[in-house]
Amino acid sequence: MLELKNAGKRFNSRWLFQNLNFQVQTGDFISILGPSGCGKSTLLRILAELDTLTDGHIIQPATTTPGFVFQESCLLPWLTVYENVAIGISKNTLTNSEKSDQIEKILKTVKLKDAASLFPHQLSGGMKMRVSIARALINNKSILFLDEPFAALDDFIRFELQEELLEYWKQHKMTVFFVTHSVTESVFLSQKLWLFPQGDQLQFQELDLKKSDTSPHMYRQSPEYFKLVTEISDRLRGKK
Amino acid sequence: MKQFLPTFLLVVVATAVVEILNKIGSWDAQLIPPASVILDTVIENKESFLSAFWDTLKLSAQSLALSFALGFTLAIIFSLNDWIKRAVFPLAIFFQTVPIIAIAPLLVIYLGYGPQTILASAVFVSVFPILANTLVGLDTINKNLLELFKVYKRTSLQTLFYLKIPGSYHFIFSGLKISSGLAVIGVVAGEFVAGGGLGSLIDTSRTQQRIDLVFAALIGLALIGLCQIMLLNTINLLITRRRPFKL
Repeated sequence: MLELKNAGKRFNSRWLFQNLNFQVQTGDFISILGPSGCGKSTLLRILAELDTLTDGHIIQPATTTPGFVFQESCLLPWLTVYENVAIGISKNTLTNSEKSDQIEKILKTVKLKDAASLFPHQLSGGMKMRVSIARALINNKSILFLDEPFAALDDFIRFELQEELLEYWKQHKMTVFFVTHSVTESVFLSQKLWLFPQGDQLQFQELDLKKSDTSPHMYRQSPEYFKLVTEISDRLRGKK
Repeated sequence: MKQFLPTFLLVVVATAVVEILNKIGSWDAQLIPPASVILDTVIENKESFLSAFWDTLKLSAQSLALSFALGFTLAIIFSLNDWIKRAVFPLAIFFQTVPIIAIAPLLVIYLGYGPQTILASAVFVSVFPILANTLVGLDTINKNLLELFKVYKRTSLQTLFYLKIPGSYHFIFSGLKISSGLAVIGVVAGEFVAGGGLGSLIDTSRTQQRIDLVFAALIGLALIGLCQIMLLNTINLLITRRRPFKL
């Protein structure tokens, strides 16, 4: 459904990545993992058509509006939670009552039904991120781009949101691209990993994690999870 | 209001000291008239003073409204079309550097005596802060928010109305506050050459050495400026209570 062919991106004389070739199937949950400055956010922006390739080309699926979540919640301060989420609705063909139904449904999913009339300055960091995620998810989007969305949150909220995102993905099976520099987060969330190992950014790797189907909470405590985290950390440091 | 208490006390004390010094004959009322003399002058010339005050107040408010409409519209056009911005904005900066007192006689030649010249003079002075501030606001919107609107495939006009203009609210309002003071200056400069209002009253009082009338007119001008700022602050409070504009 989405394909990159001989893709490369250069900033001035430095190549962030070169000769990337991969195919993404509908419903894949892919984490793009690597150290800061390796080009993972740039790759995400290219996939979301916010940036362009220097080399190669990208084959996008048929016209569809994706959802995008930034590291900051990026809410409009003068709009309520309800109105901020409404921005994510791209179909002008929907009636007001259909829009309203969709917004209420997604606010219930992200546990913000009671906060619909609040303004962003009245919300906690975790709640703001929930609004941002709701805005990205609304309208049953088939592709979701997330750029380190949980990086600024504390562990408790982060774990909670990770589990909720995973549950939502299991139910709706949209394609997810998730940028992170956390090995544990990427292993916990994704099926596939795109690795930018430290030191030599051109040695791009694609890994299928082949995870067993356990509940998110159990999986975080399983030996399989710790084994994968160790293995991926070694790969990132170039030990494998 | 508590923040203005020291200023208010200072004015009350200074006025009282001047009054007392004047009563005991240690003050030259010809140079700086005490408050009681100014008040007597205003009462004595009530009709002409109030008429001049009203003319200046009306033209200041009208010129501020016109400057807002013109500056805001120009900023929107500049923001939508970079070529027009690059062609016209440097000229706006250039004309901003020319003192209004040098332009005002030219305006009389073009537009004649009367309110049209005074309005033109005031708009000329007060339009730039609104234009420049609005433009800064429109051009400094958070990059991620602009990208978000791009991802959701919003048109330029939708981005302008739903993101850029509300996101520039504080810049626009700051420009408006600066311009409200400048509008009064522009009106007085226009009245000096085109006649009417407190500006003309100051000019004629100067030629008659009526310093008490000049002071009364100056206090009137300060009141007009204060009224405009208070009105703007109230409007701002009413708007931001409903919508917390701040990016």
